[in-house]
Amino acid sequence: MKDDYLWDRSGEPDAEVLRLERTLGRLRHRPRPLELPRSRPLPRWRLHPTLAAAAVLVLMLLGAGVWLALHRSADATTQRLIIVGPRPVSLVGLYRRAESFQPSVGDQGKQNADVRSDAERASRQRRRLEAGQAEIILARRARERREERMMRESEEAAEKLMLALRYASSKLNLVQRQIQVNKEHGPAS
Amino acid sequence: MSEVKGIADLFPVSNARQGAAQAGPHRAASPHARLVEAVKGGDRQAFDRLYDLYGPMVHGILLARVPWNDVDDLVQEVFLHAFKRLDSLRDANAFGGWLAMITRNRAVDYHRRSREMEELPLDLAHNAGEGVDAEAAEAMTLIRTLPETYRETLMLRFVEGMTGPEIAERTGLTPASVRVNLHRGMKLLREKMGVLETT
Repeated sequence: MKDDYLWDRSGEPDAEVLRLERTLGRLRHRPRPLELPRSRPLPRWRLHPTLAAAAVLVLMLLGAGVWLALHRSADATTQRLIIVGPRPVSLVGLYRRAESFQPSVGDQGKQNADVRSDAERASRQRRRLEAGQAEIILARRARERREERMMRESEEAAEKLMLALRYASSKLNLVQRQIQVNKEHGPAS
Repeated sequence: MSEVKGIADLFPVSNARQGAAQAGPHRAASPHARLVEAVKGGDRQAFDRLYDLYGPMVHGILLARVPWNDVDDLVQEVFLHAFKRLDSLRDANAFGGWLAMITRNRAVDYHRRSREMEELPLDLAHNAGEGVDAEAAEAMTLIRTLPETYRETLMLRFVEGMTGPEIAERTGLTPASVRVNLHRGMKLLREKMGVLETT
């Protein structure tokens, strides 16, 4: 069939197709030298380094804020737990009562037993108080150490953050200078 | 033998889409795709090679849509645009279809801008182009009265001298679609030429 020639120039040529090929073939593409820019532009997302740097800064600030907020909330929880610890017991009233006690002669034996019992109770209370106070002191010292450590870590984090900001700022300046140079002299190939 | 049969062949546009979908991004890289990757890697000579390979396709597609006098400038613009935007092309194997789409969009922009700037004759058939000999101008005028799909395929076949398989390979259409377009376009053209001769 003649359509084979129309399709891939195989088979018997069609006179009309041959005539059209000959006539229209004169208009065939004559390639002119292609005038291309010295280099291909960067992808669109790389055309905005200022925005990218700003986004990095914002993310870093957000991260630092979240980190500080989390550590502060952890600190507050620790403080609340310390407050809930052993409470001091006031034994002033008990001591005064023991000092002002004056037993009568008839009740001597019973009173002696009561006094011993009160003294033992007071002694137990005192030991408990001392133990509680020691625990409070230990907890306070632990809290102070924790606070010192957190202060130190906060200072270190702040230093790191400042360092990152300085680094990002220098990068941003570099990119802006490069953009300026490209605008003045065209992009480097 | 060359009679096109089958329901699928009756729908060239859907066929083309199906072909593009089947192609997918995971097929093996063709030599043309390797050229595209080379350009992405900074090889400018590879783009010159692509210009040689695809210039006729771009020229033919434009010739089917815009006045002959402006086609060469538009070819340059299309390749310049493609050069700048090549990074947006994900599948290097789809370069031909991508470039054809850019070319068609560029032709649409051309007409939009022309309407904004001045009143041009709406019928391209009367604007075959100065500097074209009478016989070629007459043939072009007839082809430009055909539906766009057939017009484009016939321009690539007769003006650029591309075969059906070459048209399919360059434009990203399926061979079946191209064959249908050639067959039906030629049939319509014959009818129009017959009418012209009888009048």
